[in-house]
Amino acid sequence: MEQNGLLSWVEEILAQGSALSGVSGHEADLSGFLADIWGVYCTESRKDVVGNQFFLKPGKSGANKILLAAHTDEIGLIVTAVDKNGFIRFAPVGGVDARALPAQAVTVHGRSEMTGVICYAPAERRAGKPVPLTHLAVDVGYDREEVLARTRPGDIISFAPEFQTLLNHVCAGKALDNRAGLAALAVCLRELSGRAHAHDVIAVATAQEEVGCRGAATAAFQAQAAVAIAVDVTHAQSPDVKQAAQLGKGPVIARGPNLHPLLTEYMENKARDERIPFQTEVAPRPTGTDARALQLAGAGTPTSLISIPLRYMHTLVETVSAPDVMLTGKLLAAAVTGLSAELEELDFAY
Amino acid sequence: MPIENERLLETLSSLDGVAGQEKTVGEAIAARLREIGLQPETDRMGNITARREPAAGGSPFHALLCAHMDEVGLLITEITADGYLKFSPAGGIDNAVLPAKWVRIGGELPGVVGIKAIHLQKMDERKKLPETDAFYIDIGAASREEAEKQVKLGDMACLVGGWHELGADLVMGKALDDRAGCALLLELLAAEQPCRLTGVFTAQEEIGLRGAQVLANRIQADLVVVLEATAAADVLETEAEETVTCLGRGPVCSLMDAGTIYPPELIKLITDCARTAEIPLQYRRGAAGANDAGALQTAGAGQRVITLSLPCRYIHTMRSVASRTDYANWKKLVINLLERLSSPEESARFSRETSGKDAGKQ
Repeated sequence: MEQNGLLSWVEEILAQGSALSGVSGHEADLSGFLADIWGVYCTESRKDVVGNQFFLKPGKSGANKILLAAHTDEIGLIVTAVDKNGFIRFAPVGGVDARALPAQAVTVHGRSEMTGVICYAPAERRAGKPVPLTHLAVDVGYDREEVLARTRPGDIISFAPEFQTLLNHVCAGKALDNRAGLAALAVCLRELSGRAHAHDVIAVATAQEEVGCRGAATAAFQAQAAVAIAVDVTHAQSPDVKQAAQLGKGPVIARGPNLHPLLTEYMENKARDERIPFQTEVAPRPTGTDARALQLAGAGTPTSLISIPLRYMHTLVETVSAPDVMLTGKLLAAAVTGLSAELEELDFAY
Repeated sequence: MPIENERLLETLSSLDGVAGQEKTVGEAIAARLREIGLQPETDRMGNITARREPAAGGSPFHALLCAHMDEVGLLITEITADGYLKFSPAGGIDNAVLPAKWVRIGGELPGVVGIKAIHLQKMDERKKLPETDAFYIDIGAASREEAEKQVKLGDMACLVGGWHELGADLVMGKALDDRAGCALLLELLAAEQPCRLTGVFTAQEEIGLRGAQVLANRIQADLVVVLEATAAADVLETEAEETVTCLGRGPVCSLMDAGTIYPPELIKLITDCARTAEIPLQYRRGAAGANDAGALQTAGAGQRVITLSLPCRYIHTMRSVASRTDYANWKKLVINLLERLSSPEESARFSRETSGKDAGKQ
């Protein structure tokens, strides 16, 4: 029963988070949401100049700090020009797939918000070929003069949200990369609120991950944590993706040089102890997540990466399993409570 | 200018009905017809007919107005072992608008059209669109057995798009083609008209004017007016001569399309109606595509047909866009045309019984 309550809470958070707009560099609109889902379990919060939002949940001894990082930002578009007929040209913010854009509804965040739709000239219909991003535009239904009065280059364009719960508590919507990570951290903080933990937990909603993990670098510099765990999403299997994690089979623990081997092993053992199913992914190079920046912070920070399997990444129909999100949060909570006072489990003994 | 019953248009455009599965749309239309005091009749193709006699002293001229109920969509053709759905399009849909879109199966079950994440695509994959048979729908099912509990082969999957306002004068909805025609026809049938009116809401237009073919065998009128939504290609910097129609420049009179060569005397009459009543009018600057007029013109002994359309951007996608002002002018033009045809002079000129006699006088 309690499990079901937690699951519906997760689904609710995913729906709320997906509906908000937080394109890289413009994450402020999520502050209220973060206060609701993280802030209530924490004692302090603050923002920094890059757009990171920090929340502190003090531990019993506070001997060390554990940094839990999930990025707030999502991919989007930015206005570059308005053409002679009032159609808005744009550039991508983050890894946007042009093939998924035609006929998508968007919001242009100009002097006032405008609804629009991504269009292309009928002459672009070339059998089998996608319309290149530079040939797409936003139609907001006004003439050039009116469009120029309402928006200008540099304004952000976000994708109009649509969220649905499919079968098996599978949730689909925009920006679940990485609202799913934010939701997992919410579960973690909620679980921790009833448990003793030695170390301070700093939960950070990092900014600008989608354009190169910029927030994570400055967040880690400020936090000076003894341990960092990045919480993000990873590719899940679909008919056209075979080599990947599976939806609904639990969190994914990454192995590879970007991740501290002993911390990774510790996370895996915690999952086994708690009977939380987990999957493994191998990253032979720096990962495309905040973990790549967290590891290099200060004198180097033992870092782990826990990911939630997700299908159709960087589209408007990103799909995750709510139970995966919940289990990710539970694993994080177990990891935080289990770390010893001196963190000796992370010491290399060559 | 507002749409008189925009709520009705929004409701109709949000309903799901691909060719052969028009039931929900038909029920909504039949309910509305009863509400306005008419008796809907449904035939075995699913076409709905309603008749409205003029007030006492009205003209006996008989106009048949028709709009199609079906929209373009997808039919489920296969359920894969791991619970995904494959599909085939019913009607013309550009594959470019399918990746990463929402669908609704059988009018209620949500799903998404998946696409391989950009991070995982090889360079050559980024340069092409998936073939239709490579697309799949994800409903969250973990296996074929689970999916089969929710979906049957042949079920429709409709494109999902909400109702939005765009700019000051535009509306954006899913199936304006041709729920806009259905809404206008319902508005016309709800009011007193100067002549005999038969309103028909046809089935299966998008897969080859199938409903209209059966209808034409049954009903003969003095004049058929097809109320359609037609492509407006006035997008980005498309050259004027390639735009077909433009939003905001009034309703559209077809000259010729792939199914019909429209009678010049009718085109002239409509031009004159628009000029006299100061209604903006544009001609359809393109001859591709066909509509129910093609089936209705050649049925039985033949009938006079004309198509009057609402210009519509992004037609055959989940985001069709039209102008409220065009809609209001479209309605004005049809009413004006009916009034003209009810005058003794025009009525004699265009009615089936008498028009053959002075055919040389046009």
